[in-house]
Amino acid sequence: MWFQRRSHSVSSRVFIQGMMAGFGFARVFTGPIRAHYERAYKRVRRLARIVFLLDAALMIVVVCLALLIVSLVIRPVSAPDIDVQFDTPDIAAAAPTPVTIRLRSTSDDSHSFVRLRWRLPSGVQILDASAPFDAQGLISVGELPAHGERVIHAVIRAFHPEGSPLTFSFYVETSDRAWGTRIYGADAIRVVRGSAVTVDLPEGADVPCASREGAVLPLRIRNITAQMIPSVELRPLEASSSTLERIVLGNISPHETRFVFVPIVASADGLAHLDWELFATSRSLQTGSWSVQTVDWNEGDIESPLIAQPDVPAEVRVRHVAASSSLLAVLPSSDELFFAPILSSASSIELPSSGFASSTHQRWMTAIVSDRDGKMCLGPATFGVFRSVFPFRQRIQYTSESGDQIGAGPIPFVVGEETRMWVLWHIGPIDSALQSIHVSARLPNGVTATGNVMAPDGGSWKTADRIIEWNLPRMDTDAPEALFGFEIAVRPSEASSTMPLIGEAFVDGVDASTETMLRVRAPALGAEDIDK
Amino acid sequence: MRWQRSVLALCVAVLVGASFLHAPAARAALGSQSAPKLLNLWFDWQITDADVEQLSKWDAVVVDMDQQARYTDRIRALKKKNPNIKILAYISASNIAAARFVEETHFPGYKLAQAIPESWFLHRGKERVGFWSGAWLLNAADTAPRDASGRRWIDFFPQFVSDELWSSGLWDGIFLDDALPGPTWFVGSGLDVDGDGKADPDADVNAAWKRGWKAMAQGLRAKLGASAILVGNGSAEYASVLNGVLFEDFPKYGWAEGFKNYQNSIASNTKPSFTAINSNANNTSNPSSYREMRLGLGSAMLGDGYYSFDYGNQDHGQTWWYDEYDAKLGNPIGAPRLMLPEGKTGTIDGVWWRDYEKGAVVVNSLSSSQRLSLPAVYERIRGTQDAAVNSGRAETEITLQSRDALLLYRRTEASTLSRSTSYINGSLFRVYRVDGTQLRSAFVAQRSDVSGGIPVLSHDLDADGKQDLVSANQGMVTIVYGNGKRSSFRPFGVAFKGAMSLAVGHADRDAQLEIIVGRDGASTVRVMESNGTQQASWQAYGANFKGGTSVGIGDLDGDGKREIVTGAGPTGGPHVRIFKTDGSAWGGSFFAFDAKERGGVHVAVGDIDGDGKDEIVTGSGQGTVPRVRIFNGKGELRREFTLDNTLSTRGVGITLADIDSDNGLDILASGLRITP
Repeated sequence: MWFQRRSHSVSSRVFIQGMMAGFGFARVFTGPIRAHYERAYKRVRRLARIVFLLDAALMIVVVCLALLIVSLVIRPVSAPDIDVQFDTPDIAAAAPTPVTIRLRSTSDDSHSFVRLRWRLPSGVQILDASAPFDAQGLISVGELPAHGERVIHAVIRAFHPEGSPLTFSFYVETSDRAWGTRIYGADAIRVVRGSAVTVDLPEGADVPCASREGAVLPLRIRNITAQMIPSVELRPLEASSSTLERIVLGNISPHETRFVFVPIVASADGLAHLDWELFATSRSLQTGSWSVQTVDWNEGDIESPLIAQPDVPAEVRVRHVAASSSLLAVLPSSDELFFAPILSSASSIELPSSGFASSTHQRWMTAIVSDRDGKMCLGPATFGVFRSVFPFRQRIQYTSESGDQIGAGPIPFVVGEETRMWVLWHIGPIDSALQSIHVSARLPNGVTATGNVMAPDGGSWKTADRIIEWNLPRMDTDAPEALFGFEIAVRPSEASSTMPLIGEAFVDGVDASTETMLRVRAPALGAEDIDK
Repeated sequence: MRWQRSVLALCVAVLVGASFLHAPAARAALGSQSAPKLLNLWFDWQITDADVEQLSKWDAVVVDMDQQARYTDRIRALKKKNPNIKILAYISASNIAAARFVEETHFPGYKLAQAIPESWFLHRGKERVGFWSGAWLLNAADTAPRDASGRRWIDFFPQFVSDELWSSGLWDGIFLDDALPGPTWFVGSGLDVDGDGKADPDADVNAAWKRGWKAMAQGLRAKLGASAILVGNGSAEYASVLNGVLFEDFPKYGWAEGFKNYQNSIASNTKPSFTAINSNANNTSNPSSYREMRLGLGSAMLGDGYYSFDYGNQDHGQTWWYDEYDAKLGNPIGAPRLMLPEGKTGTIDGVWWRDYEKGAVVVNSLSSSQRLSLPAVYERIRGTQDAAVNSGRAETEITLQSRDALLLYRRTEASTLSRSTSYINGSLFRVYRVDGTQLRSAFVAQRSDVSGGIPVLSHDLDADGKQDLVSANQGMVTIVYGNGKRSSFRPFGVAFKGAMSLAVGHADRDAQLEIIVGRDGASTVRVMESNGTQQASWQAYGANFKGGTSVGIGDLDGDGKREIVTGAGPTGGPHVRIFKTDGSAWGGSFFAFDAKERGGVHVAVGDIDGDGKDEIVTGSGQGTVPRVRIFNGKGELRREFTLDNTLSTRGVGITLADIDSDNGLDILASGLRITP
């Protein structure tokens, strides 16, 4: 009521009149509120003003909370003064793919404490990055000068099938003195094109018909990258009538090609259907299908050795074979199928030698491919086993592969002082059971066995004599590696550039499935071979 | 309602009270009074709470007698923090500082100063004499003048100590500074010890002094009793009438001489011996004087005395702590022996060696570095302060710098693993503290009396004080008792010849430990008596699960009852489940690592942090990055650390054992790659 009082001064009168006008204007807007107050509070409630004020305050709080929630839910948009650009070539499933992230400042001010947070889609891993990411995917970029640029290079790998859209989200945070903390967001979508791990039927096996009984399809799985692909599996496509069973391939080495042999099973309509899905790290990468007409087979059979030796050509005998037939062979050492023409109804065909040092898959397959009414047909498969040298290594180590000192004493050796180190015998990985394994090696003069051993896989041993022996009754494929170590000591009496430490090692074992005796050797080792 | 509320309140009060009464098991009693035995001369005029925290790590502390009045509560707090600590009151037995005269009137030092008549001071003519600035010598001769009551200083002093210090109940002993062999060595000739106004011959002065000082010490013993620790600082002359002598500034007067005096003192001390060596940074604030520290510590450990290292005789009062102080070598074995020069005998400068239960101490007191062949493989301690010396490396030879010493561990062996959870015989282990720092170098745990590749553990099953060996091989559990007896049984029947996992613990209330077994090929868990009687059996996971289980047993909530913990084997997820000893579920289950992994998980159970409750320590499964995760009984993650970046094909095996003899469990992890 104070503004209705009269004032004798002109200025105060103008001021008062102006205030009255202003309040009057405001009263227009507050009119509905006043009416609501009159209606819902003044006439209805006790302490109407207090209740009204409390309700008004509560309403304001609710509105503020709602605004806050909305602001959190709404994704931050790119601010105009930092531009995020994401460049990548086509992404192939399971293939290392270089990516480049560019941060460009378009403002006249520099940005401090710039941090890039990169949200990767699941199934995408970072193989390498020019700046280290922390566990939350955050890179500290540092200062971004005015109109400047920062570039981050990384190599990623996506385990997604071809055609999958991948959304890469970026958040840029800055903490500028002038601006405070700000967050910018950006998305980049890339579609997976192709796969670095493929499964296909090699040329020559992709025939229109196959024997109803015993035919096997050699599916080829290839890793075209220089990275190991972990945990690869081949599974039947879900909801298909595929007769494929789940095949666990494990890790596929860089540039490795592997064959899996899938039996063809005819359905009631005479066709065989094969629908498969390739997985890596439990994620689907590729699907495929194949169907073939099945027929009764009477075009000949194969007599092949069950066991072939490495580096020795194997001979396969065929009989009752029709003209214009070929022998198809799938050998573990080759990426492609081997074909040889069969020149007579009964003949011997020499297969190329394996030429591999070790392989986790040592089965090989042969089949006759014959022309039937102008269509090439695949006959029943015959399998053999390359009972190759199972992997065996003899090493001398002063330090374990994980960097632990297991030796003691000076290294390199010092005249007159004792140095201890470990001879380690490592068998496997094997993919076929071995039994009656016996390993032995002779200690050269000047080298003694201390009696300390490391036998985490058991067995029995003798270290007291100059011939060290280790016997292992059996190794199965569910525990495909075995290790034995024994400590040796040397005390050189004169300086020398070389010193023999362990003689040639001989390993005898019996292949459990074929009862074939196998022998493997590992070369003698000297001081120059110590793995420090 | 009122009585119900009262009952509820009473229950709450009882529960709250019980929680305070429950004392968590100490990881290790501080101040174990075992080597290295550490002494701190804390002559700082303050004792703060932070100082109490630090000083409690020492085995013995000397503080000024006035702290009895100034910081009574802090001395009590120190004792409470470390009940084993020995706290000695510092008092000079033949010196009085001028500062004592102006202290608080209720301080013992002030009372002492006020009680000293002029006749008790040592004079040259009419002048008091002293060798410390601001302090005067008191006449400890047995021919000294008497006061009006007919007492000499040597009569008064024991009574004073008894009345003013010992009666407080705060002290374990008295530290007698200025235990001089004779005053003329320090203040020169011309002293009048009998107060007749004439200077007495030096020989008479010193002889009277020695007699008087000894009588004073004997009088002190008579007053305080046999339990009081009496230590003198200054001369080994009085070693036989005291518990110990402090050799300050070692080896200022030559190592050989100082060490000989040290050994002779220990030999002649009233038992228990409390002789100590103090060496220092030469009155500089240089805690990084590692070589000086090592030389003194090593020398002290060649004997059975205490060791102190600080700034110097101008300022005793630091809490410098060294990596060597944490080395737990156990008890000494035998006497020290001279290694170099070869063919010599006697206490001379050279390279000295002393065996300990878990290692050795070697000292080079010569002025040139020495190379020494070690009798076996020893391991340097793993430290951070002087990492080049304490590198943790295993050695067969060492080069000791001149006037230096080393503490060495004997390389860990499987036969020394006692009170352990099970491990695979032949494993290469790394040893970790609970915080993930590596405690010791890797070692091969291969027992020659057990087949390789099988689980084995060592524990006292029958509570006879001897370690028994339990192993499991091809379906058979074998127990070899420490008393020579053997027993064996097949927990899964005669047809089962597969691998098993083992744990031992109290599954019931009898004194004998039970054996918990898991097996591969199924998830069956069985609780067995040591005679092969089955107590309980259940399936830890689904009936179709063929990956096997690892087992552990412990008291996860500190209620005195044990729980059994299982970990799913390979092909299963890293699933951990907890059961009561009868197989019924206890608490919840959890995934120790990413639930999508299919390499299984290995479990071990033990109290690794000394809180009175056992933790679940897990190792990651086959084909994964080797990691360790530690959970409490509720499945809450407490700690984790990664062992290596390379995938582990075997998975991480976990064993808990006390490697460093601190009564706490350390984490032994296997499964790291040995060969490429």
